[in-house]
Amino acid sequence: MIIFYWLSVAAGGLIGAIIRYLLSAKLNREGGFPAGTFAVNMAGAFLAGVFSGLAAGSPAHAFVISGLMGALTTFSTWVSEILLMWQQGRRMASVLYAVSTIVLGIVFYMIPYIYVGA
Amino acid sequence: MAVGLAGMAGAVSRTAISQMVGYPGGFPYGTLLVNLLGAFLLCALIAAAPLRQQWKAAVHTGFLGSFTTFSALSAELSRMIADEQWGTAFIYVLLSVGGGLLSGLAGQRFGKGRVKP
Repeated sequence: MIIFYWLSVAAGGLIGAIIRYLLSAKLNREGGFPAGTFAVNMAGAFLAGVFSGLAAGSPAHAFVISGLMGALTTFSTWVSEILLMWQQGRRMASVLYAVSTIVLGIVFYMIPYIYVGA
Repeated sequence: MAVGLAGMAGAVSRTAISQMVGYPGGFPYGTLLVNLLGAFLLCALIAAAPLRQQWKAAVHTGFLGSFTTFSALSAELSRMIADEQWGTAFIYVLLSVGGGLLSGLAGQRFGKGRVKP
């Protein structure tokens, strides 16, 4: 059922975006470290690893991986924050934020991924 | 609620584009495309600021936030590393981060030219 597949993506996207919005509003500080964006990206990478055994093309994969984790995490906001920090003269923080997100994203995905044994 | 509905549209568009582009040559061009495009659009919108506050949450955070993804990038990079495809992983991270920042900068420039006086 192709419609069920896309409804699953949509439902996941709805929930993921709302969680990210609420956490970002709570944790991101203007002029400070974007802890909310960092937290959702790390949590999303970890949970994507946990659920990496779900079969691609299945409604469960559509809901959890494409919808929920895809929408919980964000790349565009991350880029805009790196650029803003750099342009505000917080260059060390900007580089640190960029590198730590990439490296820890791999670590957080990899740990459960290895245990799931995909 | 507007954030959620926009997030829904973002996730569906991302998945549709990713599936259309697919993995030609085993490389995640779909994820790369949505991420670079989303970074460009978000930075252009931040620079030009054409939206009111309540629309900003829906379009910036909801739609473009969900349209782009970090979990897929982490997953794809990790799998390349697990498969010891170091060269591919290096190219992918370089294109994503370097390309993402350049897209964002280009978006800022594009947006700044369109700010209403």
